[in-house]
Amino acid sequence: MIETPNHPTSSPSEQFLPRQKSHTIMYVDDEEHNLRVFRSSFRRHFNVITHSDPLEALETIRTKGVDILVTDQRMPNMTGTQLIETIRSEFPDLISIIITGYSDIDAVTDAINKCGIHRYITKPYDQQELKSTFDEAIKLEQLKKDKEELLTKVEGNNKQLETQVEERTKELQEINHKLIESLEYAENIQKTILSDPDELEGIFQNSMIYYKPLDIVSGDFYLLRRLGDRAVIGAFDCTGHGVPGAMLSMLGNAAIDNALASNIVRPSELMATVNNKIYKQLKASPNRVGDGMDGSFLLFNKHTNKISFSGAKSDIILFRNAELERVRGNRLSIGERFMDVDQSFDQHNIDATGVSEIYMYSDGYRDQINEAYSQRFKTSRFHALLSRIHKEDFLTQSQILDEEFKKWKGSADQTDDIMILGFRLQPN
Amino acid sequence: MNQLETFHITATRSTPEVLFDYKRQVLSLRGVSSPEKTTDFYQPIFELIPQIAQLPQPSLHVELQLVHFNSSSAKALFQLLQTTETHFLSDHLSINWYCDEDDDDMIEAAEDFSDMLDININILINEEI
Repeated sequence: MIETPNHPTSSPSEQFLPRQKSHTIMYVDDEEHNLRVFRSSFRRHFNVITHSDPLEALETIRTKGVDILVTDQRMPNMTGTQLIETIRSEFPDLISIIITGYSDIDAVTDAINKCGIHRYITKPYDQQELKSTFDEAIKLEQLKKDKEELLTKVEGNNKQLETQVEERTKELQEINHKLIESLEYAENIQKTILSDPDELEGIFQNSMIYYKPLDIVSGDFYLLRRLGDRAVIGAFDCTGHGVPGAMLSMLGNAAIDNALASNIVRPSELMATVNNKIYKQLKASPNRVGDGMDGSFLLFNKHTNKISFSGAKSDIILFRNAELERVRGNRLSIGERFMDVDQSFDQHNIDATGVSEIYMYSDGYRDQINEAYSQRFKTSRFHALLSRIHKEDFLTQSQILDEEFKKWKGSADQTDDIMILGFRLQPN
Repeated sequence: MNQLETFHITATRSTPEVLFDYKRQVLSLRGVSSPEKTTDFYQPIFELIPQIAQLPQPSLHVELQLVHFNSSSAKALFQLLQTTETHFLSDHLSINWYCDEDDDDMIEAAEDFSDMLDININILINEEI
């Protein structure tokens, strides 16, 4: 805070030049005659207070406050510079002018450096000159005050802006936090529908689940079920991603669960049953715009070493004697509007002799856009990648899949939910 | 100056460039299509079709050169092509779909569209990969 002398001031906007008699000048001199002359010379323009005793002068400044202090240098008890030095620490804005004879100039110069005397005037002074010195000093002081006031105002505005920005950021952070929290909670719920990979232990040598949702929750989901010597696997990709995709995935999962509970295990039958259920359910909603899901059902019988597969706009990949075999499903989505409610799906029955790995996947990996947004990863690259890594253990495979994905994507956004399931039939 | 003469949507990370060449009456979509709100994005493009059909010489050439489109965009594109089919005689409508040579997924998608719509889509292979 800036200490301001206690006197009525006018606001900076009201005036630029000092208004007449709005400022108080104190003159201190031990010669009564000088005081009288001073009073009569400046009374017209300023409020003039005079003192012959510096100590009394000090007291008046402290109690009444003045704008300008004019003092003689040589006085009993206290010199002018001493007076200024004393008062300056209390009133740093006080303008002080010293009036002195030539013989005292050295002492005064010293004081100018030490305690910031505005000016010194040599005796005898010229009345006009002194008047303009006062005006100038007041003007300068006023400008200084204006500047400080403006700075304070600007600082205040900045602080206010900062506070507003802070508040809004905090609000947004809270909203974001809440959204993420609820998504993470939803993620936990969604996880409960995803099967435990241990479910298929004993049927396969081992397995891999590479699962990478785009927005915490996913439209991709899988289902693993062991029935004695057989394993039923479903891998599906619902339209959309995030919350809408995840909600659809719950619907799909329930439909599959239902079908399995009715002892339906043949992939083509499973697909037809699930399609029928989803189709009816989605059709009942008037606002749907072509929601549905793509995916695969696979049944593996360890005893007979046979694979059966049905696909809805979805393929699987087998490696037989180190050669990639792509088995293609029907080119129709579940719940698709061009499809019949009783749509049938082809079932591929495959002898698993020589088959080392099976892969089921959503299109998220191969549809990933590159950093330049000019290309997708594509099926061709996906096949080449799997051919290169299928012999590795599944932990290594999922690490390579992740590395290659990140390399391809660069700074681009993830395009879709990603899911790649791998199953090993023979020890390698 | 009507809306048709200046129709241009610039591409973003999730939406394609859409341009109507008024002189040649060519509507082209280029880039990625996975908008947050697919219907909002495609609505003005749907509205364009009947306006083009009102031109003195109603004909339309559609060019698709898509890097990726998500499932909701697939529905929108389907609807778009369906709309062109209803507004133009087959002699006055042509559709070119550009695919990369190694992009089986895109080629198949174009084939599926062609089958389902019962219109001729020329699948053209980009060679500058």
